[in-house]
Amino acid sequence: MMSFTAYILPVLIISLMIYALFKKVNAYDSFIRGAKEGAKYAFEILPYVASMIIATAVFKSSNFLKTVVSFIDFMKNVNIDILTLMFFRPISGMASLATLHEIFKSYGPDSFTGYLASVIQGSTDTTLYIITVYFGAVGIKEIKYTLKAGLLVDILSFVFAFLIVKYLFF
Amino acid sequence: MVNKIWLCLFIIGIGFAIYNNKVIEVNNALLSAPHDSIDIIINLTGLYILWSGLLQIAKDCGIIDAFAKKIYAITKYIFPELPKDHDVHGYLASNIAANILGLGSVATPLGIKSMEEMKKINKNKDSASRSMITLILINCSCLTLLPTTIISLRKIYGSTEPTRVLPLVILGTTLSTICAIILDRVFYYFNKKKFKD
Repeated sequence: MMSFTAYILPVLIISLMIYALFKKVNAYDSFIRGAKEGAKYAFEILPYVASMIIATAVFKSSNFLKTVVSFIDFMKNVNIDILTLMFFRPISGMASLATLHEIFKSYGPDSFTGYLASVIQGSTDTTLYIITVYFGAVGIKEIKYTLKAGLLVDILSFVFAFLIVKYLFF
Repeated sequence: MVNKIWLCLFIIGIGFAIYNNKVIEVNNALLSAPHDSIDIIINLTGLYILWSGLLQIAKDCGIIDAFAKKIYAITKYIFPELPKDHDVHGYLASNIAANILGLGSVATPLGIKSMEEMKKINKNKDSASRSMITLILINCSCLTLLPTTIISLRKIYGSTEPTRVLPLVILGTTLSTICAIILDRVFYYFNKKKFKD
């Protein structure tokens, strides 16, 4: 399984290079032209990435979420760590990965919570980050309903994750 | 809406920290976060250079063009407004393929390249086109068949069978992607007016 994934990129690249040689394309020149674009993208998205990382770091440092979430704890049947994961998942990739670490550490990866956290982490992505980066890189200002729809997809994915783990697995 | 979320993160974060005597932590975050963001971008820059470079080789060899023609049969249903015989289908399909293979960092430069092509198709307007939104929603739902990070993390934390989660994640991500495509249609239907100008 893991060894198969290790072959994807090297095989892809060597086939491309051999094909370029066969097609008599100046691969180096093409690479440089593409690389310049790549460097430009990275530079373009820098302010968008930095602004999100700084905002989430400030938010995370205040411990607000932990306090609020432990306040909700009186409902008892809501798992506070899963709630934290759900909150951070669309906002910050780093924060949600850190939460996944904590969940695996305290519940173990083979517990119900561990499985639920894995499926939540695996079936959604950092919505806010993708939206700001993709639109930011090409200079789109008017994003219409993208964020609303994206967050709705996230919420539904969390529900699916719960149903899958609860009814198909445990 | 991005603006409001962003402002709330600061206002709630700093406000609560002051109320809760956590101001030192906020200062630490303000010092380290800008540094972290530069670190992340520096790492990404290398990756983007590599993948945008390889992508350009593929384009100059005619691979993207050929791929675009083959994949059009599928992408035309997901992105109905994009013109036929356009390279953008090749980039879109590569972005989705990279996601499926669990290569998230490769998917981003491919996605941005697709966005750029779609902006050209949309006459360089600075408002989002229908297909841009579709692409972003598909990426947000994270269609993947190989969640490598999660499996390796499960291994590190001593799971007896780290890959046992695989079918669950695949089912979850497939459902969320289907859901993203459906919601995309629904939102488009109710917001059709916004695209006419």
